[in-house]
Amino acid sequence: MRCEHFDVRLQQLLDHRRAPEGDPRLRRHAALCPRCHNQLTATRRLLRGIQLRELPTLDDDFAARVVQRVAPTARPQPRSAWLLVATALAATLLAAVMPQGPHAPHAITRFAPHTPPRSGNSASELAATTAHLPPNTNQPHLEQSWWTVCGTSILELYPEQARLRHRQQVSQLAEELRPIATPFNATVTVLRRTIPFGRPEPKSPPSASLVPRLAQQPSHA
Amino acid sequence: MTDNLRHLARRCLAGDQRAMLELVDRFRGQVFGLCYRMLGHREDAEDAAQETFVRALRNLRSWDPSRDFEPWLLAIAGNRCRTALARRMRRPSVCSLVEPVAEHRPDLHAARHLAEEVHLALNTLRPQYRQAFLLFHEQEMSYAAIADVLQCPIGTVRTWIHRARRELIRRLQKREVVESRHAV
Repeated sequence: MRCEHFDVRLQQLLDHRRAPEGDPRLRRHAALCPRCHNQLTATRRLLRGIQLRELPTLDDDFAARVVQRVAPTARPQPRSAWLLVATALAATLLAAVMPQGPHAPHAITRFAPHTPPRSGNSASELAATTAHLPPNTNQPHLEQSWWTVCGTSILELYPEQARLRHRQQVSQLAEELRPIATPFNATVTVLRRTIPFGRPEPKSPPSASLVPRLAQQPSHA
Repeated sequence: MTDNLRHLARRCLAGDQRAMLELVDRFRGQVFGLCYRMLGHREDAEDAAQETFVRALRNLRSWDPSRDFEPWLLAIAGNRCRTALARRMRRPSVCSLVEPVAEHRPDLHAARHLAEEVHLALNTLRPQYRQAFLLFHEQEMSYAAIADVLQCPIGTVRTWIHRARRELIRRLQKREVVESRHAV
């Protein structure tokens, strides 16, 4: 055995966790080569030194300290899929049992009282918009009245929306806009009182008590 | 064992603090042992071990239950140790890294002297070499598991361990530890 083979063989034995002294070829070569004998001895001392090294013990409350750090941020598992499915099912059932037809207009118009249009242009435009829509066979007059109310409100707030030609768009806009129409008008009025425009406006600063009072006033487009 | 660990992990994820205690107690020896051997300082090792478990518990969702838990945990410990070593290099500590020898019995003294020399020699190794060497010779992990911990090929692990052994042997020879007259 040559010295370079000695090193390779030594590493192989250590890789398989076998004692180098147990290999007769290594022993024979180490007996003849002082350098490799020194290497074999150093390897044995190294392995012995690793075994002799003491490991200090951890405190008994180590785990408790770890958990104390983690526990405030420990969160339960997210809702499982079955819970999401149950929620969706419940929402579907709720939608199915909700009153429909003639009750719907009253439920929606409850958000804000209907204000008559200030000019006949908007109403006539809406009539032209909804003329082609199929009438409701159950309650045609209520259906007509409801669409008139919604459309009038939209046209008062946003006259440019008179270009709408689809009933679905009118419905979506009405549902989204009517609940916020009154506070929106009040906010716009407050802003107009704060920011000077062309028209003279009172210069008093806006206050919280002003908003409810303005909300009761008729809306101004 | 693995199923039990998966169940334990699920309880930890659900916020069960007793499961967290059980998990920490089960692996505290391995994690602290690696941290202590890597850092050579008790307080630093305890801090690193604690940080390891905190991070492991907070990121338990990222553990793939189809794989072994131990390499994943020791990989976190290794990263914490390397971070601590980098911090130490920026701000050298004034405290001694070697516990003082209090005993004066010849055999015990020789044993502790050898252990200290090995300890000092290990501290001169590159962190990757040291971690690979300790995982193999002290934690008795396989090359495949070490490769999993260090996230590198098995061949690289083998090379690092061989280099670590040669450097340690060279260091012990240089320190004349081999020629010590005390039979240990």
